[in-house]
Amino acid sequence: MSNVLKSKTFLLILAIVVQFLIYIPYFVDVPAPMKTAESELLRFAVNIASFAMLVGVYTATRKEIIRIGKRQKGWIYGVWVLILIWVMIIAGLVLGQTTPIFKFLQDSMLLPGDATIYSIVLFYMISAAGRAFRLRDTGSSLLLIVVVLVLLQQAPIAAIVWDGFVPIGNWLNNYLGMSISRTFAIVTALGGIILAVRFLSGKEMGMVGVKKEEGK
Amino acid sequence: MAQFLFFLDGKAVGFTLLIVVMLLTLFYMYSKREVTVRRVAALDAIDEGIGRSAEMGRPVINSIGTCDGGMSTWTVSALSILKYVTSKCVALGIPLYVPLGGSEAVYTPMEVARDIVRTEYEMAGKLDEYRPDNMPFLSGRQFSWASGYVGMMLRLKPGVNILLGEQMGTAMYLSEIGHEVGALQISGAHYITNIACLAASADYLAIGEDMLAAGAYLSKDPNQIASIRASDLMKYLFIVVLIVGSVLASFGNKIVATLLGY
Repeated sequence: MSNVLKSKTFLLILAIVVQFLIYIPYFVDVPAPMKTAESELLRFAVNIASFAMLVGVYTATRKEIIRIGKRQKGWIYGVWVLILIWVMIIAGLVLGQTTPIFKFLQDSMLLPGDATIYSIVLFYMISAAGRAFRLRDTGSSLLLIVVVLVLLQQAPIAAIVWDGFVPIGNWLNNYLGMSISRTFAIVTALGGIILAVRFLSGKEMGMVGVKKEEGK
Repeated sequence: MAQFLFFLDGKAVGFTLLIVVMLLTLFYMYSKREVTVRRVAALDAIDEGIGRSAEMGRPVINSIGTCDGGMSTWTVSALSILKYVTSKCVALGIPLYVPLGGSEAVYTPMEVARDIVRTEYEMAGKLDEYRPDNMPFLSGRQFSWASGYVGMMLRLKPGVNILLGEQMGTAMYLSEIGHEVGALQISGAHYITNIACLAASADYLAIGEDMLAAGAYLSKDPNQIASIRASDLMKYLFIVVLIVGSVLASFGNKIVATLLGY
């Protein structure tokens, strides 16, 4: 059975049918059953993702148990990870997400942790900028000037020093930045369509784990 | 002219363009034409990075991203790249590590990634060398995943850190740590502001559709590479539409905007 499910033909038929049911109702008015099939498929994807979450819990638990069992380096942290995973799950599922223990874990441990890591990114951005924005040639000089102007636009003191910084920064963002964003959106949409064609024509099947002899 | 085109709206034109792109791609793929496409430095650097890792006796780290959109085009491209990287690592006997996680939508791509890597080892007859523990699920939250990823890089000191797929706010953090541990840094992201940040940090950067074309480009299959040619032709068409639309709009004619708007 698993061979059938992983065969190239089965995956191709499945992909073509699903693509047809999802894309056609977006462009064309279709009968009600086809609309229902579209919404059911989208709901199906959400359900699969929810089930797959259990796989995540299982693999994380398994990994830490193996690490602790083998007394690998840093195994004691594995104990801590296991405690946090399962306390969070039990608190959320059994006691409910409005209980003080769940709220404590969420608001006093998870969110500050997230905020800390996000803040650290700032320092790495500065160190990368220090390497990148150096005057080497005409291009890098131009880049440095634009960067300084955009930074000054964001700084309140710049408007006090000279009121021209804000309009220049706005122009750079609204015209240059926006046109580059639109170009990026167009070419990536195009690349996505072509990738879908390669997949639907059975040429690029590597991403679904089809073996070479089947994928030829 | 606008009166003659009143029945057309953005959706109808979009649908027509979609069909045209698909037909053009199929035409190039099956026409057996030899086409030349530009070199993509970031994708060529993957071989360089793996070779570097082999010479230095260091492992390879390849991320498929945070997969926020589930099995999106970006994740699918990253999985194609993972397949290629795995085949190279298997052939050269280099340990491959894939830090998985980063969002609540990662669970499905995570299992697909494990299956791809396992299949590559199986096809090479080296299933005994496949280590599922080298593909750990670190966390379903982006920042926790990034911390685990950074920990792996600091411990393993990889020769190359391939950071592709959907990369969010932590991409800069991961890229800079990769740089600190002396790894060749090959990065890409799915939105422009992140690419701007990564440009300052990475050794090689996949911009725009580079990542989406990776599967075809790395396969060296002429039929697949020919599909990239269709993309180039459509880009010329879009440039013409942009120029014509801008000129017409400057003179008060909004026909292009009407045809493409919805």
